[in-house]
Amino acid sequence: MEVPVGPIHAGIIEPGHFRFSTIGERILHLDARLFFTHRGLEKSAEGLPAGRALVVAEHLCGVCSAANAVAYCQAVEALAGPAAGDLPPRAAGVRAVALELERLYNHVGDVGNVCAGVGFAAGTMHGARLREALLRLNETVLGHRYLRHVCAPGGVRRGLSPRFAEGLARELHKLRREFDRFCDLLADEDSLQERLLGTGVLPREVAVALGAVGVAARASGVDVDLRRDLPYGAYARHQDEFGEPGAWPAPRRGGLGPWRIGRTQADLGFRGVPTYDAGDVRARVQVRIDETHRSFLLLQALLEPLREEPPAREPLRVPLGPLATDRAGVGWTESPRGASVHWLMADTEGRVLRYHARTASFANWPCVALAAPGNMVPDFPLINKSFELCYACCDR
Amino acid sequence: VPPEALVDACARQIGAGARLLTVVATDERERDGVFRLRYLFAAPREGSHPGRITSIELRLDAAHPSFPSVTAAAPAVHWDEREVRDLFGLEPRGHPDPRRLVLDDDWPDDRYPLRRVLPARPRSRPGTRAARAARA
Repeated sequence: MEVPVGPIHAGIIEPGHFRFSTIGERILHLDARLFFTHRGLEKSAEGLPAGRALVVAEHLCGVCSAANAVAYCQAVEALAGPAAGDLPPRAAGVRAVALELERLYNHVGDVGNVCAGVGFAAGTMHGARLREALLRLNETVLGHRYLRHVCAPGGVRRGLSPRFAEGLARELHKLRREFDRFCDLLADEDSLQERLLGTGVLPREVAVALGAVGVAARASGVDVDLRRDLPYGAYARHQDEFGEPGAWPAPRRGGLGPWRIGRTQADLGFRGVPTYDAGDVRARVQVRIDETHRSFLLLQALLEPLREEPPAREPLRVPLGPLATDRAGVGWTESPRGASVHWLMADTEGRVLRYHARTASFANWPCVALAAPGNMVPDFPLINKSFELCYACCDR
Repeated sequence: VPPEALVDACARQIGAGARLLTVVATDERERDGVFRLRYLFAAPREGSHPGRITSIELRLDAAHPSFPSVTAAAPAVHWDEREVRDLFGLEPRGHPDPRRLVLDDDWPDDRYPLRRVLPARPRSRPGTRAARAARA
């Protein structure tokens, strides 16, 4: 039987057409068709001055704007300087703070959204409330709920004063406690745990072959994180936060049954990149919970130097040199969804000759289609939400 | 690399544990008469040395822009190659999926949006005086 879904969906999500070939309730094959609202962004960046094309990169995706903006700026800086180490330390710090705040509100909201996939309304609402608190915090400290207009080639457009850094650290500490309580609520919900277990398995070999990135890769046992593997910006100074590859402990079992999602088991002192072997929805949710926890701690470390009074006359931005035309600039970040790689080539007048962005969603969409077969059609929304990919990132 | 060495070069990267970063095509016919295609890989971290980025570059003849598909050796690039075919008209020979990925089925067969012969933005913006004058 064929079950067509979309491209128009209930709710305010973007267009994508899913065609399920099923035998009874089981999905035999899934054909996903995306790119319905391709905007030609790469083309529209051509001919713009490299500084102005930041607008294009920043608006590529609604919920990874900071990650895309930083990656684009790094690509520009690779062509025009300053060298990665010569960015003003406060500017590099603010960029990393924005990137981690972005990860926080995404992951917290996504954990809540998975509850929506199983109809656990209390969890959905808790997640939405915490996400909203984080978004308002973004607006208070960096001026934009979705962290736009923070980054600029050569530095940042907005600084973070010591007083704000202090306040942000205090607020985050409070929100971390609330997030832990939210996780305890999920841990006690048997009907949620049952639905997540063994649903939408992405086997490790498939994840490796398809080059899965981000949460989807780490939940399938592929230990990758660009913040550790190709350190950039302020992350280079905080490498000890990421530990050695393969350092993350196996999940703890609370009895004889399979392990369940819940509050992160890593204690305060533990460092590493959360990785699980199971590859199911449960593992993807747990990776998000653990990364949220890690981000809260990483933010405390990142905010530490920002709480001190900056040296007088340290600029937020340094001027760029002329753009190199003999090579291409590459910039990358680990967005909440995984690797976001921006590639830039300039002409002799400092304008964009070619701009290309490959975001995590582009890399991971083919994985969704391969995680679905064998599951029930009604579980697909849950599987899709556990990947939480973006349509706009393909329609760029 | 020469076209016949492309698949091997990419397979060697994957075999060494490198991960695909991105695939970029450029239309550089104005500069030196060719299309270029680049496969970027990130080599894994070794001890305290951070990973390294390798770019495998291929020149494609403007008259017959096609290249051997890497998808069979590195499935991670299969969407990238379909996208390059749609937007640049560079044909991945032996790609397992001949369908369009990005463009609508009704899009004309011989128009490739990212080739530089098509302007990046309309010469006159709709609704402006210049556009009305052009229409009249």
